[in-house]
Amino acid sequence: MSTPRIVIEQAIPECVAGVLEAMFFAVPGKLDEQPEEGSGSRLVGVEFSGAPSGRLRLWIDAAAASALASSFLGVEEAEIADTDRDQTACELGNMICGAVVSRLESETAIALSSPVIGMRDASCRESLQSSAVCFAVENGCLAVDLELDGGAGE
Amino acid sequence: MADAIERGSPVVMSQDCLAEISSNADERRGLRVLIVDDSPVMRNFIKRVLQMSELEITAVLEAGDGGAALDVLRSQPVDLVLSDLNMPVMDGEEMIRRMSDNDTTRHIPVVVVSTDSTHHRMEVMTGYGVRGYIQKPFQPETLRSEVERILGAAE
Repeated sequence: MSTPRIVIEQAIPECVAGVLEAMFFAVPGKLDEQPEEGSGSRLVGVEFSGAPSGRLRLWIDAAAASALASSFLGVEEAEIADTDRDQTACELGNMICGAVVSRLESETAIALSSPVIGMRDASCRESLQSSAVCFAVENGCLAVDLELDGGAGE
Repeated sequence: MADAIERGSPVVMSQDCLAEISSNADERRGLRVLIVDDSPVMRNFIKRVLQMSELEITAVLEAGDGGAALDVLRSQPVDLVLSDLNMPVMDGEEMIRRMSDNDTTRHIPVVVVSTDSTHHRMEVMTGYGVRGYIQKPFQPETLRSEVERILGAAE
């Protein structure tokens, strides 16, 4: 049986692609380096509790947030407000977290907290672990990492 | 009039009577769907999917948590509930449990639309009589087909 850490590392790219393609009609490309640009970016956190427990963090830059909000809401980018970008980023984090957590073998229910915007205008490098997986999407970037409590699966 | 119909006699109705019957039929034909999700953008997305449906959905109501949804169900007729599970204030599971315990709401079909697809959770929802379960993320066509399956069968 794979450890949770291994499952997570395999699941993140697949789940990010699955969410973006199904709900946002976007196809992500994997990036080898963490993006630097911080202005207009958002850091979304989603906590999950159960066995295991932990948190997912999603960093998304302004360009990706605008493009994905436009697609999700079905309106032109010029009509997208900051609240739309925030809410879309939160929902994206929620769905990615749910999809990754669903891959973990758990005998009990795992509950997700409501996603929250934890930081703005920060760089991806500062906000996430070095193990974060980065993607190019539309004209922007996003990055995801997932941390388990207690070093589970290390 | 009932006796006349039973005897096979022709029934003549006034214009006012015909208008009332027609109006009532129009009201019954329209379907009313309640979307329960704490994410405004997700409610918007689901609403757009419903607009693609071939069913005559005349009203789409929204609630941000289970408690607000129960308030809607107490005051307005609803033909279908599409509900998330993980929500603040009152989560979807508690809302669905209360619906199943209440004579006026237990007959309303519920489709869960949630990131949570663990076996345990799905078993619990099935126990409460949930009619469908869609995991996020989903293809819009999947949700549309499920809504049409359930509401189409109810018509």
